Amino acid sequence: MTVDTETTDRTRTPHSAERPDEGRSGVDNAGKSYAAPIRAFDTLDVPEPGTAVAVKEIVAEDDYLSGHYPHLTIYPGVFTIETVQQAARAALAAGGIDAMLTDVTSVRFTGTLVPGDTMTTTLTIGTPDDDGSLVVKARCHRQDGRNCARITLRLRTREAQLR
Amino acid sequence: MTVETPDTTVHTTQAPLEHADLKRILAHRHPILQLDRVVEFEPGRRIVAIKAVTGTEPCYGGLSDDAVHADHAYPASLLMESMGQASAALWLHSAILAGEQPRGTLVFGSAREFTIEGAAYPGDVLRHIVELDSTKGDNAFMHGETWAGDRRIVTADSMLVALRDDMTLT
Repeated sequence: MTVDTETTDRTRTPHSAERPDEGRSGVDNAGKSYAAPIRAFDTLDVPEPGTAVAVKEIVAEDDYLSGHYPHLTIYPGVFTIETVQQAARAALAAGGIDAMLTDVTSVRFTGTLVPGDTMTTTLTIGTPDDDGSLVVKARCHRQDGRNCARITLRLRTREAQLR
Repeated sequence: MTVETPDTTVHTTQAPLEHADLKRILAHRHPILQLDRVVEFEPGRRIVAIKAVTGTEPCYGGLSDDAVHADHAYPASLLMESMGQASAALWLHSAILAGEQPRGTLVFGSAREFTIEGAAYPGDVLRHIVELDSTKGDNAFMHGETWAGDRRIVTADSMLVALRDDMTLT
């Protein structure tokens, strides 16, 4: 199953559902369903439940990047975390689960991303436990194969947070 | 008509580091300079930095009218960036006060157990309290907490920030 801007119509993702053709990151972020600094992935593929592959092209025009930094544009490390959490939330939403980030368990950055780079993120997404918590593990790599980050997050279903 | 002269006393009391000072310490600029002011500073040990969250920030742009209150939670990535910048300001300003001249581009190296206990919303003022654990060359290890008013919303067990030479960034 491929989840992209045209098929995420009713999923909880910052991606625009209404104007997918203008869907370049940051340029058109209308229709976000939750606050987010940028649209942190361009496409999301969910080959089977519990896995997902997100691709993000790094573009200097993305919101916030002009200040990071004026002398040298670098995709902020925290935006790589944003990519993982947005991709995880979209993949979970496609399966009917509405979850929010509760814990960045561990993150290690090992490669720099600059405009023109393409980051591919491979996610393993767990299932909610009795407490509604689930673990997401992700590895991010650049088009030249270099590893950029290893990230483990914990998300919790909104339903569990409300009860 | 009587026009009262406004009492400007409180406005002229400078915090340890104002926004302009932060721009001399950090390379981050609008709109990703995620700190407004440093209100307490103990060189080499501890910093208390604040950041006001407002609905005019880019992260709230384009948010659907269907978004409920919880959807307006300040993004975790920006909370983390803000605390990371408080960490960097503690480390770099301490180094400058010690007569050093830190050089290089600031990067986030790693973090462990950044736990989000609560949420911040437009109108909240974030208060980061960060302590320096150790420095090793161009690397600094910190831990900290973030408060929104009287609610602690984040605890961070360990953060590594580093300076890297632009030429060796890979």
